Amino acid sequence: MTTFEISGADPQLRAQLARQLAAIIPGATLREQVLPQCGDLRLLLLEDYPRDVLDAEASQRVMDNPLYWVLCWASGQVLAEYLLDNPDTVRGRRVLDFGCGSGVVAIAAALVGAREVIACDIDPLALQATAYNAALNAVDLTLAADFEAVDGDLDLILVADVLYDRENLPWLERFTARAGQVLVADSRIRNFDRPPYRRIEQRESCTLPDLDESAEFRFVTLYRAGG
Amino acid sequence: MKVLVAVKRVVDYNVKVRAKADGSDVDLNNVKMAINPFCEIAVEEAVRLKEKGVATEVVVVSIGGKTCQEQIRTALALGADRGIQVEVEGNAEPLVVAKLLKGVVEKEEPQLVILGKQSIDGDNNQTGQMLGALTGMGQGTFASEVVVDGDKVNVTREIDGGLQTVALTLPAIVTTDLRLNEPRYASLPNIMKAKKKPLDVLTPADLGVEVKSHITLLKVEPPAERSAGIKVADVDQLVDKLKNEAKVI
Repeated sequence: MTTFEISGADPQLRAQLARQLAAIIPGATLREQVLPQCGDLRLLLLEDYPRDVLDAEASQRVMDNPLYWVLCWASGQVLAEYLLDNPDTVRGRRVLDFGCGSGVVAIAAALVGAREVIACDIDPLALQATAYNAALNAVDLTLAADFEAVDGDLDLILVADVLYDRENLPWLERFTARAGQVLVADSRIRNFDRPPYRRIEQRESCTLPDLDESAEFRFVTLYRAGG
Repeated sequence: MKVLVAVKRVVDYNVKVRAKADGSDVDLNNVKMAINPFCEIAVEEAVRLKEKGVATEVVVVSIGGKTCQEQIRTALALGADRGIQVEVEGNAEPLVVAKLLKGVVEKEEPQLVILGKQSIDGDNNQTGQMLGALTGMGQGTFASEVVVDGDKVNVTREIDGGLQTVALTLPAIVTTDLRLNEPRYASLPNIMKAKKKPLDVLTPADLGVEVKSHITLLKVEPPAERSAGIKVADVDQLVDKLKNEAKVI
């Protein structure tokens, strides 16, 4: 097992996240992990968890809590990887990561030189995890719980894996109205035909830790609107 | 082979149900809701068919308001692949549910449709049979065993006199009885996966169905309260009371 220098990250925040996770899933633990496709980018993610089935109450708690931040989803990893490969996409720009979860995409944007990165998520625990992970990777992020409350011009909105809920589809139009350019990473919608969004490329990845999702969700397609 | 499973959101079977004070309906305020147990058995059976390599995809459908998405997600956590919610206000009656399910069947073209034999709220035991009549598909109700064999499914049914096995040509409809299987609990990875599995929302109009009500609920009242029992002094008194008061011996 590799251990990491986590001097920049707040141990109290880490303990707090671990406590809150254990209250939802007794026995679940967190560990800093390097993403296989994103250079040195590392995140605090789920390590141990009960391998057996959960009882009805624990199942319900997991259902009721978003908890998306305990995993790095395939689309998040792919979009982060794309930004690391294409730094010009974000360099010098003001960027917002919508539904940031663990913060993986926002952190990648900051690493390659965005002027300001706003990480936005309605889940308060996700924002805490993002704050921890930002410090872990020695980048500065602005945190936002409410997209509508973000002031000022946005050059680029980054969106990884939020379209699994079809109710989020109308956001696609709000994004293009709000920023000059939008990048979407998605594996959940089969026939994505929503101009002005255009397909750029497809990359393969998986959730970390691997949930063994069906094969179709490993193939993440990137779409761009504007620019 | 694609399998379609219907699930219904009902009051949890552990809840002690009460009538509203005005007798207009059952009081569902702040009451725990869950998948109807017979529907959960249907989901389990479909997932087992997938694990055996018989089914390739398990689609779960529920009819109701947005809250029934919770039960769809629960079914997805048990192993179904994707969900469909048909958006209907209030509690649709069996005939309407059957018509909506017929619309979903025409859209999805499953080879097997599995439903619970009845829901524990209305206890109607009608929807599967009505769906059979509307679609013209064969039906095996009250199943305690389901074996797919080529283009047929053999369904062992629990009937009053014992067991009866029927062979149905696919596509077919199966409704589950209690002893078909014991549903699993979900694991953490499966619940996390389920949160992001596809869930489409359809309206009755999308399926060409008009939601109408043919049944009027007049009144809901609790059963009469049982009066307190008595203690008898000895066996003779018990026999006397059974003979002369209860008149059962």
